[in-house]
Amino acid sequence: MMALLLRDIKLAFRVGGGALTGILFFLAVVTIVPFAVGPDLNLLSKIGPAILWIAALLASLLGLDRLFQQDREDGTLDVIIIQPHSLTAIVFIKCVSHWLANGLPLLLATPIFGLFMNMEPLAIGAVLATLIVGTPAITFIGAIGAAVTVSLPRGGLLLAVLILPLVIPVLIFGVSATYGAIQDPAPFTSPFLILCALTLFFSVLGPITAGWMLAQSTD
Amino acid sequence: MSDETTKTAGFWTWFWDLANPTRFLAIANWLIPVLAIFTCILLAIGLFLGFSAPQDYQQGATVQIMFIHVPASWTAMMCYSVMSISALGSLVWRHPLADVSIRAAAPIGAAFTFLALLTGSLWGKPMWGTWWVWDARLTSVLILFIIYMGLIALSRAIEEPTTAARSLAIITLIGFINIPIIKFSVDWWNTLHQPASVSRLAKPAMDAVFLYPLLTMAIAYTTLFFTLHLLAMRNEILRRRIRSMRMSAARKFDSPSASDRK
Amino acid sequence: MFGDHAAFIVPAYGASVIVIVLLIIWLRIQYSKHQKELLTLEQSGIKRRAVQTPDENSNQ
Repeated sequence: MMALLLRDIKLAFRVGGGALTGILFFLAVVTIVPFAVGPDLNLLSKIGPAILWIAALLASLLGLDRLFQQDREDGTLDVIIIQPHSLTAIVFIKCVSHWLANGLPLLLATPIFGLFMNMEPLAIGAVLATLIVGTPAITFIGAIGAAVTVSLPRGGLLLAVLILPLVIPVLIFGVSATYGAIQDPAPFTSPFLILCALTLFFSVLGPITAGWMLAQSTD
Repeated sequence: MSDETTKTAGFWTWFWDLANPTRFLAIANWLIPVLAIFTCILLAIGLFLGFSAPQDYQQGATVQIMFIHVPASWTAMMCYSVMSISALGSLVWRHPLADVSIRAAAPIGAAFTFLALLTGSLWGKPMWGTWWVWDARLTSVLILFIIYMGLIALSRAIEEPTTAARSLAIITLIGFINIPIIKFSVDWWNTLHQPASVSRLAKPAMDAVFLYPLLTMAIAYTTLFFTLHLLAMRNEILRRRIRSMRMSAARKFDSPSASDRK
Repeated sequence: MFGDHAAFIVPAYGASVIVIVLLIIWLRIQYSKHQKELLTLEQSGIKRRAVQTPDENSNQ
């Protein structure tokens, strides 16, 4: 298992692995927003958490089709499927490695982009905390979509559409928790805990469903 | 022989007999006109009752829109429930027609969801002053529409029938979580949308003069849906036949025995 | 009869009628297209597996 983890991470960072493209896309979205809404710093700091969450979500969605695509292209996926290990565990490990390679760089870039949006340190911290808990959920949910669309040529777009209804609650609670930490009357703990619950729930449902789907679709 | 089994085994045998596409087509060919006639009659009655209903105290004439908005949204949700049951049939019991059912129902459900959103908007503007609001029920119906479109895209994208069936079924079942959210969202969150006023079993909060047209239109929309669904399933079965005939024709051209016989 | 709300009621009913009619038309068109294709295929000698006669199937 450890070997699979390390291999995937190494592959993701090589040329063509595309992990760093995620950060660039994150940067692109965050940069475009002030052009569209105007440079009013107060406005930017008010919508900052939401924009960061949207950008992180989109950047994550973009990278999800890489979850199984490369392995399928060079035939490794078939080898993985016939392994004696449980496919659920394998998909889980792949999700973890995918998150480490794609999600973690986004998290590292978040404080800098928070400054671009003129956010307070508390706000940046809150966004960071919710993203740390929420982005794994996106990866686990994405595994389901990735397994379904793995053999399709333009699967990435369809994948995003298919899992959108499932990631919207993650977005809702992530942003809600962030604003809860910043604004006084709004609660932070309950949306944050629900976010944690979502991640835990999908960390089980995602790999099981994706593993089953992969086993079915050997083509 | 098959007569004996059908008589003795009851429902399940009939259910699995129906799995034969030819059998299904035979049944559909007489069932569709029957349902269509029912639909027309019910629609006529419902529309008549609806248009002869008086103006509502609060809503004025726009209560007319309720008679097509509420049935449309009920039908949209019912269609997804039919698809979910079919998805279970496909995954758990491997019923051959289950996949046909899902593919056929998806565009119809999308159309009714679109109508629900559109008529709801047209009702909302004169009633509550806004075309759209991001409250729980409207948002979840919009998400239902997105789910339908995603399923349609998925059904067109995968060529191989078995994989396609599994993928469609799984995504349909996962999306089913949205249906209870739509239903109970007006109870869970205080929203702009009307809370439930029909399904309280003891005494619906709506006056009879509005309730009867509404229920008639609802039943009419239901029979309409099943008519359209059967039509679409028939088309899908024919499409698969054409595909398999084409493929066996292509195989015959390749195989040496065909050219030997010439 | 509808007063000032007619501008909303009429499009609502109109759109419903149009969408439903379009659905029916689309299903009808697909049906006749499929029937025609099936007829052409059957006439060109391609038989469905279920109705194939035994001597066509054998490879001897």
